[in-house]
Amino acid sequence: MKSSLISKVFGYILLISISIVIIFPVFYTLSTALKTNADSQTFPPKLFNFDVTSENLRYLATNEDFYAAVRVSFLVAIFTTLLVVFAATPLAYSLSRMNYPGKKLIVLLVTLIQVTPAIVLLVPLFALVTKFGLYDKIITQVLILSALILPFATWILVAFVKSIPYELEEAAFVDGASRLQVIWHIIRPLLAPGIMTVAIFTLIGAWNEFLVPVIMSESNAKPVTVLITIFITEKNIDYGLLAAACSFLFLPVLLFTIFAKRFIVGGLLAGSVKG
Amino acid sequence: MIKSEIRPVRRYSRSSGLAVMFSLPGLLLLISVVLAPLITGFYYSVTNSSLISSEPTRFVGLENYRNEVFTQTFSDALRVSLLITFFSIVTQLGTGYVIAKVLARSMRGTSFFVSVIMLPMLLTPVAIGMMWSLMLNPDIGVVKWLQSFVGLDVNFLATPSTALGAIIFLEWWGHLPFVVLVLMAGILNLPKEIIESASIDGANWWQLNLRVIIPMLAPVIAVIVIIRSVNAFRMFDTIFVLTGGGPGSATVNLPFLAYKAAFTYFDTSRASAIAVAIVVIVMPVYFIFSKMTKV
Repeated sequence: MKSSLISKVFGYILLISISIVIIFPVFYTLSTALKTNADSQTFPPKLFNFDVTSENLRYLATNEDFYAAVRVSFLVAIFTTLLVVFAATPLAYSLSRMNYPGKKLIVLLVTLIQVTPAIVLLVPLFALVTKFGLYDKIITQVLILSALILPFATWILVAFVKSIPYELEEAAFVDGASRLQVIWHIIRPLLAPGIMTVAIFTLIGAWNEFLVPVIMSESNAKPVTVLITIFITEKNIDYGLLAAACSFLFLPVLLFTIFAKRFIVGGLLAGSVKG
Repeated sequence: MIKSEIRPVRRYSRSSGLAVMFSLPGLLLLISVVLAPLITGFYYSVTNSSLISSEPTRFVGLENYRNEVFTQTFSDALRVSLLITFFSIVTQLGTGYVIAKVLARSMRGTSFFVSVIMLPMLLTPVAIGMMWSLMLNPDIGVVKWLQSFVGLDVNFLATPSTALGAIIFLEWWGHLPFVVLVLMAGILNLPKEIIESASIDGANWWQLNLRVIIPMLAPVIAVIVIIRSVNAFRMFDTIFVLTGGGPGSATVNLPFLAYKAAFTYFDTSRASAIAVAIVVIVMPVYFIFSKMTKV
């Protein structure tokens, strides 16, 4: 079939060109991180023929501000993930399997955050946070981010809970198991991939977050995403340092893409095209 | 028989204590981070409270709305928000459909290309924005160099329309993966028989796509449009680092306008008026969403 060969060639050309558009900024970031300051500021730009140096990486590795920011980024990402999993898993189960007063309010609030730009909440929250002395604290970012990520996590888990046949639970009830036993022994293991998906999305989301920390932190709780903006607002831009810090931000994401692709694609589809 | 007798009992009674326990952590988070600020935000919007003035707080009615919402600045920002949303989604659907169609044919190497195409969605938006601002540097940027091959010399961030175009491009770039992956899943789920019988009946490529496949994908496309609208409308990071709202206020969208009012001018009450107006604007989407996410 000649036409299928042509369309195959066309298909590969398309996929390769879109891949170049996607990979180029990443390649540019990683390569600039390895350039000397002189090489990164020449024109025409040196894409391949530059001298590889580790001076930017070494500078960052010994920089106290960067260390502090990395620590904040890690702590915020990890604790937000724990809190989201802790709050969203039982919430998703209760929303899909139980009926109780207040359920309507929860659904309303969850849907509301999902459609409302976060800045709407952050403007009054900033005033509240400063009033209660919570400004520039890691815990503040964890709580706010958890609430902002909660809707997405909850809908993914609701889709996963609904995919577990209720008959499975009923059979266990008939055998005399209590609700908690059923949840622990039947639901929890079946829900594990869903929880994993939520955890990965939350980790990446919290790691990448900029708006919440740029508003809620000043010096003590400044993550890497906020720190990198200082490389460019100062008079001369330090291309190499900026690129090195950006590469550092990309690193966990690149690892996740390699090792957790299945969960990411699955979660995306569960969160959007569930029944 | 026994099943149908047990189900309602187990489902809806006896479990309400447990239900409260299960929903409590989520509910507390939602009340403190969503409900409380929404209520105080509305309260601020009708008072003169500000973070830098020491005046006693008093009720000012709709004054903040007159000063901030019913203004040219606000409608310009709304226009920017809508333009970004509209053009990024249209271009994503167009390119995303073609890419998804190719990926759905599962040729050799598809899995590798899926990994590559997934990347933008996961990479830190603020870092991507920063790197693009280096690449778009008018003196030494890569983009200037690439332009020299085709004899162009445009400083994209210097004029309003091209700056907005750059923002839309980055929004397209960053969320293309979502559109591609969801469309691809939609295409793979289509009943093969209908497509086959249409092509046996002599439908050409255009007819097959426009009259058969795309209409069957309508529900999937609707979901994409709604989810993407919500996200494109709230775009912030890229604007913050790439243009700072400029040149002039050509790329100031609604979230950025609210941000500037609150954290550049520290006028809580005016910023709150903008925030309340944004809630009103997204309300129709809220109703669509609550229809979509029935639990």
